[in-house]
Order: sequence, then C-alpha cells, then structure tokens
Amino acid sequence: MSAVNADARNRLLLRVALLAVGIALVAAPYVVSSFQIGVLSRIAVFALFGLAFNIVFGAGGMPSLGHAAFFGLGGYIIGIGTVRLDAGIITVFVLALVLGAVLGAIVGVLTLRSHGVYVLLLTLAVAQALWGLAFQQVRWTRGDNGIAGIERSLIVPGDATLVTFYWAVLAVVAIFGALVWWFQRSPAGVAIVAHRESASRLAALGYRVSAYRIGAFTVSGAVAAIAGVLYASLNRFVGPENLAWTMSAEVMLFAIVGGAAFFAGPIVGAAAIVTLEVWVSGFTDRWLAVLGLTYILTMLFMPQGILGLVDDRRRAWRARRDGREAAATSANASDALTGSGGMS
Amino acid sequence: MTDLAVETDALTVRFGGLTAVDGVDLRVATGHRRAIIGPNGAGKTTLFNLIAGQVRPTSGTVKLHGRDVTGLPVQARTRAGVARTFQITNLFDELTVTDNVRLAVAGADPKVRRTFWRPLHRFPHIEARVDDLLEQWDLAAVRDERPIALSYGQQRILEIVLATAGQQRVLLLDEPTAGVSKSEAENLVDTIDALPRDLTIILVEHDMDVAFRIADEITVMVNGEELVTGPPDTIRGDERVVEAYLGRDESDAA
Repeated sequence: MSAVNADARNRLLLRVALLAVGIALVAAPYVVSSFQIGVLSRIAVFALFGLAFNIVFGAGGMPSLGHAAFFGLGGYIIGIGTVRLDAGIITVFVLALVLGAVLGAIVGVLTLRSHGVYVLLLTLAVAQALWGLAFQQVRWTRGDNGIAGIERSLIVPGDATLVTFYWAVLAVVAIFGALVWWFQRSPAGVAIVAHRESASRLAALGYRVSAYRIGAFTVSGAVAAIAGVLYASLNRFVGPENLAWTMSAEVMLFAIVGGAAFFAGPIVGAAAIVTLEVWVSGFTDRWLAVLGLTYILTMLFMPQGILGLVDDRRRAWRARRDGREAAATSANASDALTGSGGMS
Repeated sequence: MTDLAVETDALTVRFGGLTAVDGVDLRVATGHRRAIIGPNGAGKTTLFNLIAGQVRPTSGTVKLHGRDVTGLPVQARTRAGVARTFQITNLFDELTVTDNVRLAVAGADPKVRRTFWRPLHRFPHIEARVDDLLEQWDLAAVRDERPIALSYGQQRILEIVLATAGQQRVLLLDEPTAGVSKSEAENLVDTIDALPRDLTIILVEHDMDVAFRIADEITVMVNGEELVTGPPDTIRGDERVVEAYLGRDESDAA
C-alpha cells in the first residue's frame, strides 16, 4: 500500500518539477541576458540531439560514433533547402524527418551484424563518408565555406528575435522530446532495451530482433536530423563541421556525462557540457582537451553519469529513511515531506 | 502421423570437423514429456538449438506439428509454437519482472509487438494476462524488482513464465534445475510437473532423478547420436546407457 502511495507521490512530484522547469525555461528571457538565451537555445538543441542519440546508445546499447551524419544532414537540408532552393520550413522539417529516417535505416541495416566497437567503426565510416561528400560537392554545399545566411525567421511565426527564436526552438525540442519519450515506453521502445539485454531471449519470444535494431536507428536518425535543422538555424550556418566526428563524440559525451541509462541523461549532459564549454572558453580555446578530460573524469568518478550519481544518493538516502521508519513505527508524521525529485 | 509435436529427420549439424548432432530422428508426440540425457558434449543443447532455430542444420529437417520449419528463423518458430528456456539464465536483467513478462505476452500479439506510440503498460488485455501470470506463478510480490533480485530458482521459474506466456504448445527446457539449490529444485520440478498436460515438454537434464520424475520417455544421446529411447524403467536398466555414463574402458580396467 505505502509503496503505491510513494509511487503516486513521486509521479506527482516529478510532474510538478517538470512543470516548474518548463515554466522557468519559458520565462527565462525575462530574467537572464541575451547571451544566456543563446546558450540555453544551444543546450535545448543539443538536448534533443542527445535524446535522439540515446535511443541507439543508452537504450539500444549500440555505440554509434556517427550521429553527426544525421545532425549534419538536417543542417544541410535547411541550408541547401532554404538558402539555395527557396523551400519552405514545413518542407524542410518533412525532408529532415524522412531523409534522417532513411539514412538511419541504412545505417541500421549496415550495422546489423556488428556489435560493440564494430558498430562504432561502421557508423564512424558512414559519417566520415558524408563529411567527405559535403566537403567535395562544392556545387551543392559550397564545400569548406559552408552555407551561411540561414534565416532564423523561418522557424518563428511572426517577428524573429533571439527570444522568439528561443521559444520556437524550445517548442520543437519539447514536441520531439515528448515523442521520443512515448516511443521509448512503447512495446517497440522497450523491446529495443530488451534487445540490448538479451537478443537471443527477445528472438525466442517471437520478436524479429533486426527490425527493432533498424527501428532504433530510424527513429534516432529522424529526430537527430530535426535537431540538426535547429542547430543550423541557430548558427545561421551549416558547414562540414556539423558532420565532423567530433560532433558525434560530443553527443556521446552528453549521454555518458548525464547518464545514458536515464531518459533525461542526455539533457542533463548537454546542459553540463555546454555550460562547461562557455565557462572554459574564458580561459582557453583548447576545448577538445577539456572535453577529453571531462570524459576521463566522468569514467573514473561517475561511470553512471550525473543522474547515476543522483540515483545512488537517493537510494542510499531512502534506505536510511526506511531504516529509521522501521525503528520508529509510532511516528506517523514521518510520512510527510519525504518525497524526492524522482528522475528516471 | 500428425499428432507429432516435434519431428526431426536425419538431423545433422557439423561445426568444422565436429559432428555435434548426427542423424537424429526424434519423434515426440503431442502432450508427451521427453527427457534427453547423455554425457557432456553429447549434443543435447545443440539439438535444442536446432529445434528452436538458434542453429541451422547441415542436413535433415525439423517439423513442428507436421509443418517443416527447418528454414525458419527463431522468432518464426516461436510463433509456430515452440518456446524454450536457456541453460544459462537468459532474462532482461535491466527490466522489471513485470516488463519481462509484458514483453513475453506482447511477443505473441503482432499488433502490440509492432506498436511504437502507445506505452507498453497501456494494453488492457496484455496487463490482464500479465497479472494472471504473476499471480499464478507467485511472482506478484516481486513484480517491480529486477530479475537479479530474485532467487535463482525464481529466475528459472520466470524463464518458464516467459517461455510459456505466448501460449506456445512445445516447451524446450534446457537444464531447468542446473545451479538451483536442492529445496528450490524440488519446487521447480513440482512446478514443471504441474504444467498443463497438453503442453509438449522436451527437457535436457543432468539430474537423473529430475529426468526420471518428469519424463514419460527418455532419449539417451552419445556423441551426437541417439543411443536409445524408451520409458524410464527400460532406460534405467539398459546396459548401453550405464556404459555410456560410466565408460567401458574404466570398468574393464577396474
């Protein structure tokens, strides 16, 4: 009984916390500087990219080092589409979803027979091939120079200011983030996690394992491409660096630092790493070195990421509380105010 | 005969130079319980893998209820009605017991299995069956736990629950009591014994007492071949079986 009550209470607390965070994010422009709004926009975009990536990585257990392919693809779709071909934003979004999904399915098929480090190498190869293509097909991509002049106003209904653009990004990220959440709780989403745990067991239950692997990459690719569209419009620019392997490494780090086992892990990771990047840029421009160090420290001191650490603390705290409650059964009041910010 | 649940014809598989299963003609009638015993390396688990589809034969055929399934992959054979447990416990360790069972029940329903927009726990007919199963198998109290928190015996039971959740008609049990404590093994054997009689069961077992208790018939395998098949009493007294287990050379030397 009390476990059920605690569950319901945790769910309620989670909802209240989510609502509070949502309100804070929407109201942020009234409080913080325009520079910080830019940073928040970046975090939001990377959070969506991380959520997409984590379908394959955290849930599916497949270490992709090629997610920049989808991210850059989205960037080039809005770049080529709106700057060079005069396409509308709806077309851009639909194309990003479709082509991101198709590329995801292709990568899924290519990696079907691979595990672990081989998945990593194959996905890296695909992304590098796309990077090379963007670099060389100057006629379409303007090569090294990239495509500048992507209009932020495309995504914003009405006047495009930094603030309205931020709201628009927030809305797109919230919508697609919610879709990813639903997907991960669906039978297909749970089967993707199950495949990570035991592919042989899943097949023996009647699931065609390959379909779920490909499905994970397909959904992940589509959503990552949407994040790529947002990123290019945020920067008003897309270039080969959107497809670079360092981008793939960075998104993997979002998941690892935040906690790949948790849905919110990549969001927390993106916030932490972008904040770190902004802070560190005051001292040094050797960002990659700092990123590498962050990775090493995370692996050494919190291999389950920030949320893993929070989760451990919460469990320990709860165990202590249960011990206390068992000792003092007469104290009815102990039930009040003992919730915790449930993150999962 | 169409009332054969499992039928293999000259089933053979070679791994390089090793013939793991050599021309086995297994015939198990619907509703029967067959134990397969034999020394280590006799090919018992490989035979299971051939029937359930994890391994494809070099030659020979596998039929389930008269239907040739030799070319079908694992998931298609599951849908054709064969379920199995594994020698080493094979569960979804990071999912709750409930989610383990949910996936098993959903696996038998193509519509649910392919859904990617509605939460897994929001299918009333799946939930009803999951609750029934958890209740029936005494797992309701641990439904929110991860399998790792269960006793080994409970984990083996959960495996059987997963295997039979889709209402399969043939159950392959690969050493169900291996590694389980004596008292839990007792319980497990009772549980297996109490499974519905229309379920065809084939089990690989090292523990003779378990094999003789559960099975109607016993097949003894040696070096990938079927040595003899018969009712428990016949097998117990069969000289060739004693020989296969104890070894002729050793007894001669003694």
